[in-house]
Amino acid sequence: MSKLSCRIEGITWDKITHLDRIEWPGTPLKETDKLQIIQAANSVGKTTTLYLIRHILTGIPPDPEDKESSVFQRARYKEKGGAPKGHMELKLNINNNIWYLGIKLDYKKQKSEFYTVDPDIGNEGVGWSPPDDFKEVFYNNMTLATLLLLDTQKAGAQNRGLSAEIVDRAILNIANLSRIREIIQTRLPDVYEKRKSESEVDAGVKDGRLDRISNGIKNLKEWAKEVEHGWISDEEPGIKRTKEEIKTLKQELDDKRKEKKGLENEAVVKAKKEGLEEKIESNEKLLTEKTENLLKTLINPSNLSSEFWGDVTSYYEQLHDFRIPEFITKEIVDTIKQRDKCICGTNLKGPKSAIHIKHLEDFREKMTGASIATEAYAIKDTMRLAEENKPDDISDELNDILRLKSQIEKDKKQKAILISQLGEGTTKKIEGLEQGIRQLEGEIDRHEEFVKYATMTDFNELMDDGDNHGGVISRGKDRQIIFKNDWTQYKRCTNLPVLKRKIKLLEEEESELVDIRAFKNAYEDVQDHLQEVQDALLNRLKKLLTKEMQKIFPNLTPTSRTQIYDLFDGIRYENELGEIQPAGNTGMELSAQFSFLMALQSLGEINIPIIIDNPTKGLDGPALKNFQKGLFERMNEGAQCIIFLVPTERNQVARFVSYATSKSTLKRKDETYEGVRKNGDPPGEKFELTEDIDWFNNYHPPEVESDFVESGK
Amino acid sequence: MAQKGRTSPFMLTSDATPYLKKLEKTPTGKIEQKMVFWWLCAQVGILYNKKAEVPRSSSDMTVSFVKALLPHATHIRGLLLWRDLHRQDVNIENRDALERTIENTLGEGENKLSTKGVKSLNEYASGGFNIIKNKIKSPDNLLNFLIKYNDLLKGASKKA
Repeated sequence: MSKLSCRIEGITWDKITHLDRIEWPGTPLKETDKLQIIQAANSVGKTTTLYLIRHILTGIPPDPEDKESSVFQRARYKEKGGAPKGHMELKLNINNNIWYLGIKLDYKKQKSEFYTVDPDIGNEGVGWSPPDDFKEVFYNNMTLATLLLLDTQKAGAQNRGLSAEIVDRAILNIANLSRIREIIQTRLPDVYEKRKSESEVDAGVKDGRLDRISNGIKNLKEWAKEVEHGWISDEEPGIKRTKEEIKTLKQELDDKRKEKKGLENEAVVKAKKEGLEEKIESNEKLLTEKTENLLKTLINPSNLSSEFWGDVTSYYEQLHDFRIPEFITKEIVDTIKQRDKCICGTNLKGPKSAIHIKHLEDFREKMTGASIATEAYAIKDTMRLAEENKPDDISDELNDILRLKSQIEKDKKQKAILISQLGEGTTKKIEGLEQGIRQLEGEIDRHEEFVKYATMTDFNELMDDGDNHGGVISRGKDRQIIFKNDWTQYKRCTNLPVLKRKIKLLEEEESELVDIRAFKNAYEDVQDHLQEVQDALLNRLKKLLTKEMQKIFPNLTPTSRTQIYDLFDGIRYENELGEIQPAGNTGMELSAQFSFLMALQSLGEINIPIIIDNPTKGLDGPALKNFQKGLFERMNEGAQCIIFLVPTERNQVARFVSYATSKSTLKRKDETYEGVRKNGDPPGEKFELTEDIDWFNNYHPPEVESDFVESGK
Repeated sequence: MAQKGRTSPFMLTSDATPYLKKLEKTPTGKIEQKMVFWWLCAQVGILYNKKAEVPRSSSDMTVSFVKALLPHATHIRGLLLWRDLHRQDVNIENRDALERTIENTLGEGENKLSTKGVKSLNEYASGGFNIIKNKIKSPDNLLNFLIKYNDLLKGASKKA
């Protein structure tokens, strides 16, 4: 709750009573100005101004039927020519923002219209729209306004003392606690009545619907629990168990698949192995061929090393050089023998030839055969040229063989590894596994289908399925779930969202029915508690105020022995006999009211202006003196009191006059201090506001008895 | 004087037979003919200039070079001659001695070697086998044997 600080910074009259386009004050007030005085002769419009200020502050339009106040009649512009309409405007400082609140009066139609100028907007807006803090205190609060904007003449006539209602409300307002009161008395009952006004709901409680719904919710919840966590039937699990089953089956499926894959890999391994075997076989054949070739190479003496052959060929070169061997073969000797003459010329046919032939035969015996000689020459020639004819180094051939050998060894190792991975009966096992896998997949599919439809949230799709899971949530007779295809009991429904939705609908309905009961209880509780809080606060404040009033009151009623007793039932007094009484005489009540007003200042939660019209009515002498002093002393910083005086009161309220920082006089332009024209005739010109201190101090127009002064008359 | 008539067969120590058998138990092939192995041994013997008496238990092979060796017969005889001539340390200028050795080594038979020439080759084969069996102790297959045999030949070349 916010603190409210409100001051009247200005009043504008426009065709109100006798006042036309007059603004008060002439000099702007300061924040520290606590007391202002406006003096005017009777019937100029002070009281009317007071009444209008009450209306402006509270937002309550004047009632044309209210004969007591007669605001329209009072405010009607009474100067020459009159005016059909008039308005009055207050310039208010509300929590340091300047607002303008005004009232327009249509005198003929006896209608009024408020207007507000919001400082943030700047334009005049129709209606009464002050800030919320202000509204909270003043809206519709004529009681407070009447208390604070005090018409002393009527104060005593308003009530026989301030009623408990007025006192309590004033305290709550000033102590900024009026919101609690409003909640207790207005808002809570409004809400309850609104709820209660739903007759169907109310009827539901009465005709047993609530119980049926509650039972329905219970049954559905139990069933939904089974669907979710338990069993749909003795053999069929609910959602959670089905999910667990799916998990188990999937694990089993996974294992089988892995096993199958392993076996399939085995087959692959087999294939690989067979491929390797072929390769190994092929390479081994090749290796054999190459080995055979190597053997051929190695048995060929030509492949011996160059170093070796170097020695050999050089030796045979030497033999060649030395013409070794140089054979005359037997065959040559045989050829010679057959000739007539020997190669030496000897005649081989004559008488001495026998010796020569024997000589040749002996020579022949020593000779070698042609074949040997031929071979010897062949060897010599062959060996001499052996190095030249030497084939290429066998290293390449050997390296090639070694590589092949290495590859075969590698392949064999690989084969050995593959062989180690192979099992037996692979194909059959795979077939068996495939069958098992198909079965598992089928089971899992069925379970997953169940879970899918049991948890599906798209009801349209669910219903289109044609399965009993779907249905329309209906408010059927017994609150059962009605399905699209047939009217079956709710246990046919295994779609959890459908069940939950139905439960929710029922719970909402139940809560509506239950709510009213619970709400009422809660409302009453809150109301009681708030009331307790308020009462406690109020009591505390009343005690504080009572103490204050007990200090003030005696000063205002010095001749009386009556004292303020308490505020627990309005202002109660204790007379000299110790008797408690609710009201005293008029003077005492006014003093009590003044005391109350003054005491209220000490609460200080909100600062709102006090206006006292005719302060001398009801108080006089020492009481009045004490009142002036006491009131001013109790005014907090920022507080404001405006006194409406008739000039004849001026001397009686010298203290007020001395305290006041703004002193204005409403008078006609052609008036003299005496209230007449210079020529002694009644003044007739328009009214004006003057802050001239001489005028304030010296103005003493004649008293007018009548309430209304007609211009020019 | 060159010898006439029938030449002696080529012979290989009987110890070579089991050795040769080992080489047959391999997927890389085998030495089809004993004489081929004989020549491998003789080749080593000639290279390493190692002769050894041919044991009595030696088995006869053929008297002529087998088909596999025929293309190399001249070289074989040439190597034999060269080694024997070196072995005898006959001076190159001693024509008679050289020619005699040549005549004594070669023959008119199919293998064109004399008995002495064959005997010499057999002795070289025996000596060569001794080297082989010492250097290639446990041949697990023909290829490995040949690889090592080749190393053996290289080694002999450096010493020749």
